Amino acid sequence: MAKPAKSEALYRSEKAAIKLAGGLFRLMLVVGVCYLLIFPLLYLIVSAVQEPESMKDATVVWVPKVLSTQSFANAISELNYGKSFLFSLFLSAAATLLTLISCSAVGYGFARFQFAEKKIAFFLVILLIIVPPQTTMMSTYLNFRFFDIGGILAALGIGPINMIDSPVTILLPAMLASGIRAGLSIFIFRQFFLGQPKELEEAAKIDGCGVFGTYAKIMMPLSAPAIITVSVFTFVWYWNDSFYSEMFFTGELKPLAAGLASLREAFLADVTNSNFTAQEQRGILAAASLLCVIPPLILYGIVQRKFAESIERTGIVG
Amino acid sequence: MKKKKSFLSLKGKESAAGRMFVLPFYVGFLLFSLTPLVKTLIMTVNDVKVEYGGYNMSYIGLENFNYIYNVDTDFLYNLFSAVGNMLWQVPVVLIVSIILAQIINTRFFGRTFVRAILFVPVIVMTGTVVLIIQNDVVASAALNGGIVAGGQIEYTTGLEDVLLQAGLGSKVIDFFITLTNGMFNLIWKTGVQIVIFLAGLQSISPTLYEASAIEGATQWENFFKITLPMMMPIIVINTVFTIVDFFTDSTNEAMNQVMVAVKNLLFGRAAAMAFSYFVLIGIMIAAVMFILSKLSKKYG
Repeated sequence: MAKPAKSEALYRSEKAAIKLAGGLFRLMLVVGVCYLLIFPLLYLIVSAVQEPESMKDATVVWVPKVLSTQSFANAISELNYGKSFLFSLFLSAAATLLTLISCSAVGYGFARFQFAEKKIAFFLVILLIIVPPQTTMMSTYLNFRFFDIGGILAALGIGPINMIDSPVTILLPAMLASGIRAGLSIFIFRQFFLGQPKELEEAAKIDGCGVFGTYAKIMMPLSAPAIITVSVFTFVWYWNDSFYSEMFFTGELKPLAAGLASLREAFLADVTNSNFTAQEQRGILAAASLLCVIPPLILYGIVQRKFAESIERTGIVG
Repeated sequence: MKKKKSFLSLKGKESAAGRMFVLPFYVGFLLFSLTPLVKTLIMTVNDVKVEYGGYNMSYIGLENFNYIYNVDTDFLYNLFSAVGNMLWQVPVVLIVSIILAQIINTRFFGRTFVRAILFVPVIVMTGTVVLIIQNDVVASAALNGGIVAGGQIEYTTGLEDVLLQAGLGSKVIDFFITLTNGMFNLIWKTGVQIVIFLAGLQSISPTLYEASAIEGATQWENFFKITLPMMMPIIVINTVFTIVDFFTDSTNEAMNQVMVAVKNLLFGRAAAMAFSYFVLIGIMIAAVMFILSKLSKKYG
């Protein structure tokens, strides 16, 4: 005997139950993950705004008893905040702009033109993504410490130049599409251009526009999603980068990320003898972290919606 | 032919234009990637001494490699523990981020808010801030009665009992405990991966899902028969990115050892370590790409 078919009502209620269960599962997962992501930030805020002494107090768990700006004041003076903020802003913005120009041009070249060594060259781009900067850090450092372009400067009698502490160390690689994770930026631009229709460029060509004109006047204005994605990523990567900036900036004026890293190392090396107690150090580190993180967070807040939409339309898949 | 012939053929013109666009990359690659890479390779077989006004290298053969493999007891251990950690952490990060991407790709109340929060790690991903956060969180867990072991917080003493009573083997329990203890760090690593997966999910044509809905497919079937095969190229990219991300991470012990060697000006040894590590990762990436491309051929 065949099984009786499920009644319509039963089928519907079963579906509704599955939907409810799925919704509940999603809710739990989302709340859990969001908690994991927000919790540290909240914790930093709490540690930064409360009086350092109350960190010892076991009765203070989340809500600070005594508010104090002491940690922020100390962090600002320790980081030399005003100057290093402006320096970081300048470096990140300039590097982002240069990366945008160079990587979009390179991506366009890969997406639209045929040339003999294209496949090998694109393999090199992938290699650029894969080779970690730490592998070559010694030679990169020495490269800039004794900077010379193929012996030309030495031949001119100027000799190798010491580029350490100069913004050139950051900006020159960015200009030549070799900055931080530039391979990924080239890749994003290439995929985006590959996804665009060719008709507009052909029309421009017929109207007598050269290849560079087409790239600058037709393609770039149309690539807002790729530009937004790459700029947000690149700006944040440069802003947060402590690897290169710690290596290249050894003097007084440092980008924020490098300042924060050396502050942390100084405190780690010197827990007891320094001018600050352990609680004060923790408060200062929390405040300093917030001071470093807040500018990109504000930027992110402003472009958040556009950024999310851009990512969805960048078409990394091609 | 009466018309004056141009200096370059049409094809030649196209090549020239293409090379003009790619030129910055060629110069940059030569100066900032290839030269340092070759120099590093040379350093591995040299004794490098930094001196005033330059640095000096003297050839010592495979002495650096001999030192890091046979004399230094930490290096091989760090190397293999780094790779071993990667073997389970990379899949976990990828699975978590594909699930989260799938979730924020559906419409539900508060989606914009959740999406904004999930991208926060992309923005705050500074090595230093994460280190400070970990330090602080560890300290707070200690204050609030949590158990801190080896710099890691263990929230999961209850979980162990439950798993024991469920009759699981000790290896399995260990795995789950490590997994749950590492969850905090792993979730913080999912930022860029979610972004990439989300872009991939958006590019799958909705008509495929419409067709499968008419055929009466369930969500599971949708996921395994449409989403996964369509996402295969993205999964490959993301896997490679994640491996590289773990490789260069500042909490990675093997990488740390390289940095320490550099700070002590032992450039030759550091180069040998960095290079061995890079080769190992290269082999890993090649193997992963091979397996994944086989898989995608089978199912795609």
